[in-house]
Amino acid sequence: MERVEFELKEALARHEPPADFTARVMRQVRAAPRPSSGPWRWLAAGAMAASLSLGFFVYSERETLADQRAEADLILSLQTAGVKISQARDAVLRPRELQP
Amino acid sequence: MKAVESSPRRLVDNALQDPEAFGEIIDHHKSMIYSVAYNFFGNRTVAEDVSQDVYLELYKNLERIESDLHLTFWLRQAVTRKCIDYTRRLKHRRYQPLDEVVEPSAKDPSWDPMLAETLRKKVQALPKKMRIVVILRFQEDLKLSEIAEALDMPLNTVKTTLRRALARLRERVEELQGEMVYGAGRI
Repeated sequence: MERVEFELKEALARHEPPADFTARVMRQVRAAPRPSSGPWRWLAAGAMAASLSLGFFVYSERETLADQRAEADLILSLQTAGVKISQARDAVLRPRELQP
Repeated sequence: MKAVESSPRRLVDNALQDPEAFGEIIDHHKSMIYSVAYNFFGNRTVAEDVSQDVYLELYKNLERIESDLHLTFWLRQAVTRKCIDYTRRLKHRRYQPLDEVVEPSAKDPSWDPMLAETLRKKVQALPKKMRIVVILRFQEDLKLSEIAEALDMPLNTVKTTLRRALARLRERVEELQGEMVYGAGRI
């Protein structure tokens, strides 16, 4: 071992914290929320997963309904447009047909 | 890592059943945690703040600790991370860089308190990564592979960092030794 390494070992020796250190940390620990225990954590995770799945199911159902409604609206609009185009064509052609 | 997983979890289990038993964990590791922070900052108040934060973080994450050996590993990682984070926080705050207390060591009669003090200051002036590598190597007596694991650094980076840090510190020791020899020669 080199001299500098030996000196570093001496210089960087461990130090003890103040005597009341543990008591002070424990006061803060008592004020902090208790760490959750295993079963409760799994239950919470399960509940969250279930609510997420339910939310996704409801969302996708709503999306499907909205899609169906939009499709129906589109078909109706196309039908209406078709009828109107026919009426317009009839209106344009009829006077010519009536001509002698 | 297998040894970490298979060792007993007595301290952690006790603390999970009874929060008051958390005090046992604090007592068991406080010297290591506090010393890393103290040797990093050279300031008792900051060292206490960092140590308290480490223990509070541990309390919140106690469930994740797999064994008492893992606990030591976790605490070592947490305190090094906290020290590096604190340097950012302290950047804009002035603090007394070193408590001017020279603690006598009974281990070795050739121990030179002035040299030790100068070396401590020199260590605290190193860049933060270099500083933590030196502290883990010489305070905690960790192997280079253990330092690499604790700091999540490649082994070769640890080796290079330590070599560079020692080169810087060696200069200072040689300077001081030269001064002492020169000084003694003059007398």
